Amino acid sequence: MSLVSFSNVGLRYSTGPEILSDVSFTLEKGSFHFLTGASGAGKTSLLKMLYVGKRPTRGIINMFGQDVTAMKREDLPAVRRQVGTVFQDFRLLMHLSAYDNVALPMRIAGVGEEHTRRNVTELLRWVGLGDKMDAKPPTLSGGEQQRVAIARAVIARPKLLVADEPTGNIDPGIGIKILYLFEELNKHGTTVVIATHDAGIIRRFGHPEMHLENGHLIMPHPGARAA
Amino acid sequence: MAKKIFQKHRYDIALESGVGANLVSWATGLMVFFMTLALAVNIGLVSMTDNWVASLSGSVTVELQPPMLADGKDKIDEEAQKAFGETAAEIAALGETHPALAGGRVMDRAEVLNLIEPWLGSAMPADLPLPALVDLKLRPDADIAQLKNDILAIAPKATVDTHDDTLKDVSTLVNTARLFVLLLSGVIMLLAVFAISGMVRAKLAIHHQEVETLHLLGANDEYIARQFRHHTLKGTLKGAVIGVLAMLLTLFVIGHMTRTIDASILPARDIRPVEWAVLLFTPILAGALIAHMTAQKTVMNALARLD
Repeated sequence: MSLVSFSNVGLRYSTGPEILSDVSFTLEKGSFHFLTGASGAGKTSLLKMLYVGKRPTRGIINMFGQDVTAMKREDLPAVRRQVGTVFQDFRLLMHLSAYDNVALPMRIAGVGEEHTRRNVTELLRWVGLGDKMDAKPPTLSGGEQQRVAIARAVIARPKLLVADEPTGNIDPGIGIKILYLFEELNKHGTTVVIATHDAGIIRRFGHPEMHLENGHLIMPHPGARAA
Repeated sequence: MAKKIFQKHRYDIALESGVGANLVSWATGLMVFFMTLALAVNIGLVSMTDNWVASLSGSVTVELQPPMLADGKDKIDEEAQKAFGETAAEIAALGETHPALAGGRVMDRAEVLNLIEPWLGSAMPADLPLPALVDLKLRPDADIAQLKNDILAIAPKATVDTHDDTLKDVSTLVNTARLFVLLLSGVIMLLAVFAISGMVRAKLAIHHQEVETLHLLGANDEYIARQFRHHTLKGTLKGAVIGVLAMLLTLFVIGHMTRTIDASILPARDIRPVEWAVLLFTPILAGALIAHMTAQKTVMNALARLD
């Protein structure tokens, strides 16, 4: 059974035009995809629906065996906790330290503080922020903030990892390292979808592409089967 | 528990910074100040009524008008004066013989003067004709009507005051005042609900993005509401303690300033320990409860509108 499936999904904001139209695809468990498309093609909107930040105006989305479109709102947090998200604008909580930002998903999930401390410390060291655990986001560079956001997205070992331009603001060396982290998670069963413009990264890692053009998913590649 | 509430708490939402971070404390402090005042007034009124009732019930006062100067005379008739004294003594003697009474005595001139002094002042002429007042102590279940008849048989023009009317008037006045104070307390609590609800809504608007991020990370409404609840409760308790202390200081000053008021006009007694407990803890507990419930309800209602 697929991990995620979109069937004839359409999305519009308020009374505006449809940003996404008739999007249908399935994501198998353990797959890895790059989501590409020009600016305004609908990449961020598609990702929003993948991390359940937005529900479609039409069509059906099934995630982890549940119909998200028909789900009661009080059941949505449990679905969201299975998705790790790297937001384009990071969405870090500015008054919290890097450590507390990364620890958030574990605390929300009710994981014990000792287990959280061990995992967060290890992960922050791994992304090169071992000496900045107590630093607050405004004192970190854009690249460092992005690494905090990435650490927060993967800390709870999500079933689905969604990232919006995760290598956009960091130097290529760190970017490659981050992609290796995503691959490592992917090998352990996490399904990954990464929106990127970076053709070099796409070529280097060679994962299938999902291409969006004017709100239509027009190039579903193997692994992201057109439904 | 209190230590846990007041210790530095890590909020995922920056509730303790920015404009209006301490507004809840200030608003609650002010409301608790007035609520404590209302309670103190209520306790004072109850205490005053108790004193009046205790001093007036269980007794009957008989008033005999003094003999007046007859036309063309410059001195009160000695016979009339003698009969006036004897009638008062006869009525007082009923205290020993009448089945409704447990005792009786004629108040001396000094006591009568003392009673009218608050209204007429202390500089009264020595030969001022004063009424005779006979204080009769009632037995439980005394037949007041029969007693009244027996007194009037001795002195038909006597005024027999069983204090019922006075007590009824005092009770009506005090109960009206207490009702007003209770209504005032209700209005204060309602204002507290509106104020806290408004402040929580403002904080939700200010921290909208953080709330949304927590939602997207999988936090449920209760996780977010808990943070607002804790923050509001902490601010409320801080404000409530300050409000109660400020009110107690005010009461102390008022008590000190009104100490000179004559006790016969305003009978008073010390506040009992249980009343102190009510005065100290009721506004704090009410404030905490109002804050807790209002914050919870406001946040949950607001979050329910988000997807």
